[in-house]
Amino acid sequence: MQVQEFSGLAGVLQKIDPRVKLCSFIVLVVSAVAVRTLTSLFILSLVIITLCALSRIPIRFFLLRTTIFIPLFAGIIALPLPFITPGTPLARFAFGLLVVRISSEGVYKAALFTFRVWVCVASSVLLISTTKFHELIHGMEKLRLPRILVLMMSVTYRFIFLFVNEAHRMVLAMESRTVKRKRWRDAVRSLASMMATLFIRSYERGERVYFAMTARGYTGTIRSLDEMSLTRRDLFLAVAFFLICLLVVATDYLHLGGW
Amino acid sequence: MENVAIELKDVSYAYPDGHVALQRVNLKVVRGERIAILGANGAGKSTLLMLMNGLYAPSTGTVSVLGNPATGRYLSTVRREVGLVFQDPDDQLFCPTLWDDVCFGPLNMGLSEEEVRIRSVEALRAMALEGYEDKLPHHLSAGEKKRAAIATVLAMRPKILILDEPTANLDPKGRRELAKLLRTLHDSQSLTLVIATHDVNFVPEVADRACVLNCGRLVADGPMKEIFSEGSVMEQANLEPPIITQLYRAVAKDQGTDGFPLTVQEALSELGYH
Repeated sequence: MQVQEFSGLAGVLQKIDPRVKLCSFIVLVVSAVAVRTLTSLFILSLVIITLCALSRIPIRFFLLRTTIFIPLFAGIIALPLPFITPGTPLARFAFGLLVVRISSEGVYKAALFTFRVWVCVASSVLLISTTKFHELIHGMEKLRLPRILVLMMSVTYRFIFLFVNEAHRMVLAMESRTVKRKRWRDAVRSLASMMATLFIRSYERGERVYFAMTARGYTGTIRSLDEMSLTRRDLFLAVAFFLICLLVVATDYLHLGGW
Repeated sequence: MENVAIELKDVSYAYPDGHVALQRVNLKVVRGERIAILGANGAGKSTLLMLMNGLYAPSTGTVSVLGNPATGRYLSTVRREVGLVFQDPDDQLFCPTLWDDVCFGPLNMGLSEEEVRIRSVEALRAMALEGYEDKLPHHLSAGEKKRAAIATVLAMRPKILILDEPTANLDPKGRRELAKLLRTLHDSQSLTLVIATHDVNFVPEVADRACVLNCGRLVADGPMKEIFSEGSVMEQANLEPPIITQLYRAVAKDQGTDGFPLTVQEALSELGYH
């Protein structure tokens, strides 16, 4: 969880109420999905980069972090678009009988899709890197997201490190008894048994945690203290942010120029 | 009758798979008492503790806490009065931050927010964990985790505190601090302490009475000194007396009127050092 390192910095976003950040994040993602031109997405990405700088997150780190998986996921999905979209032909390749055309509309579509995914990924990275995880959880609780969902996320985050450690210990224990280089088949088999063991252990852990909850009076409803307060600044930023997004989407729909 | 904290009458417990963990256990814990449940691994200690909190229902016999049966509509009262600290703190700390964990119990009791805050602050202070509110459980040391787990239970202000293997995974410093905190708790709040352990060198510092479990049966019950002096019971239960007591038993001819010492402190004062 390298991104969490920045959540303790004294930047602008770090000081904002997690609820405001969560809502703004949703507004940003919805706007990114709604707009239909690269210009609008470019403006949105400028907004993200500005917020990133104001929150003292190293821009290079941020760009690397957000771009690294884009070609892998969005790129693969967008790859066929230039070939299958009908429109003005940009290029034409012939391999014997097979003729492949690239249309400019297709290229634009692919670029739009990839850029759109980047804006969504970047906004979620920005949210996670400027908010402590427990604040995020509390924010979601207060926004009345389904309790069971929030609880699942919170418990997952709490125990994931434990299970990673456990898995790591198991790997070490296995390696310490491995003398010969293993054959591929044996490696797969020991991995499978490790997964099974880990599954049983987590199941047992779940039971014990449930007992610990019951012992402290848990009967199925999670309660929490009301410890967040919205400041004027929070509200001002929320409204400003919402207006910017609205403006971008509106301009986009009114075709006021842009490419 | 008023004075009884926990009473087990003829309690047997069998797990769903048929394994019998406890057989006809009779035990009376008096209020304000410090009692140790001694037993080897698998002797039934943890099962006994689960019964005392109403997490398990006995197969036969009855469990009552402060006069109420630990079943049905009394369950929530029983769980409020009996604070159970599990062996692995990672099972007990399941919230994002320590503060959330400490508030969890009081919030379930339906207390006002103000009261929840007061109790949580108090519990953290009692366990010397002030300033740890926003810490994440996986950033704590083993000793801190153990104290945190106790704090989560203390916040409910129980009258009886039950600990399962409290010294497991603790280093010497953690053990020392824990012993001190437990003594302070008992002295200042007259808490009833029930401690299940096989750490015989730790237990004389935090308990006065000992019950020995062997294969699900209660084989001895009495003052700590008497129990540890009776070698045969300990051997049968696959336990041994504290190391100091063993030494005394080997070199001293008779145990005198007070029995053999159990701790280094006691041995020193018997030898005339202060």
